[in-house]
Formats: sequence, C-alpha cells, structure tokens
Amino acid sequence: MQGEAMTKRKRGWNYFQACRASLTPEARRRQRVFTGWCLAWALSFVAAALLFRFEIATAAPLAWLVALVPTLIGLLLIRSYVRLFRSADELMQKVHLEALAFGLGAGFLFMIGYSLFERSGAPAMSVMDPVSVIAIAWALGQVLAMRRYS
Amino acid sequence: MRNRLRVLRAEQGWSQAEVAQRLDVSRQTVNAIENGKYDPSLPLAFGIARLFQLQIEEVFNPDESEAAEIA
Repeated sequence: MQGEAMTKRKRGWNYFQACRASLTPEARRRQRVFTGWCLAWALSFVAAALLFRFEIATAAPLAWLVALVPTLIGLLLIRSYVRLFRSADELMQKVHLEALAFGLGAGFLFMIGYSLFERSGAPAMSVMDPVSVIAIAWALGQVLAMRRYS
Repeated sequence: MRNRLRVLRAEQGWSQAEVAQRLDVSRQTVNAIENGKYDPSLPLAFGIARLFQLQIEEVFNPDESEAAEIA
C-alpha cells in the first residue's frame, strides 16, 4: 500500500520534472510572464463581474471602463502567449500546436453538437460554456501531448 | 528515423542537459529525439551533426520502412 503511494508520488514527480524539462531558460521566463498575465486577467475578470453583479458599475462611463480593463489585460495575455510560443523550442511548439488543435476542435464540436441538443430541449448554452470547453480541452491536450513526447 | 544521439552523447560524456544547452533546445527535446519519439527539424538535425562534427547521415538514418518508401 505504502509502496503504491510511493510509486504514484514518483510518477507525479516525474511528470512535473518532464514539464520543467520541456522549457528552455528563455521559455521558462516567458512562461512565468504568461502565468502572471493569466492571473491578472482572471482577477480583473472576477472583479469586473462582481462590480456588475452588485450593481456598483451601472453608469455608462464607469461600466465601459470596468468592461475595458479585462479586455486590455486579455490582449496583453495573448501577446505574452505568442511570445512564449515563439521562444519555445520546436518540440514545445509542436506540443502547443497539438493542444490548441485539440482545444479548438473540442470547442467547435461542442458548439455545433450542443445546438442539436438545444433543439431537443436541453437548456440554452451560455457564451462561457464553449470557452470553458476550449480551456479544459486545451489543458488536457497539453498533458496528452507532453505524455506522448516524454 | 533512427539516430545515434544517445551513443554519441555518451562518447562525449555529456548529459542531456548539456547537449540541450549547446543546441539551444530543452532537455525534453533531446530526450524525445534519443527515444525516437520525435524527429527533429532539418536545421536542428544539422545542428546536432555539427555539434558532434559528423555528417548528418552519420547521426540520422531512415529505418527500414522509410528506406523502402524512399527507394
């Protein structure tokens, strides 16, 4: 039992090491920047959603500003991802491309497929649903591609 | 595609990390090439051959099925 737990821990540790080993020093620095922008975007998005939810930002100029901040941070997030992609070596670029293909494909299939379920009486899809599917499938695609080349 | 990267690296006494640093790629890439899980691009393949001061065909050669396709 303890041996199994040790093996599981070792497997997890090995995978973590594989992730670390997949980045050049420059790409690792870009990865940290990208993670920072991800956090900044998530925080700004949650803050904006709360401001709208509690009706603090209802007047036109403030409401526009609240909506604009996460959008601008999102643009910087995209820029940091492109820089990370460009700084990655060729294998990591391949991993990213496979993950993006997996994520976008899953999102596209979900949107098209779920529209049929909506006609069959399933609850209407929100804008966030395909986005969530893309994000989860993208993350899963990263793990699968990393495993493939490890 | 088969390659002799692991053997050549061992002959030089270099670690995967050292080879990765010399080629400006990640250690994962060196590991994947050695294990035959990834075929490098032509520029990287030439870079590997140059690192060991060999011709590219002395490091990489097609396996039997690929050789049959070429023929």
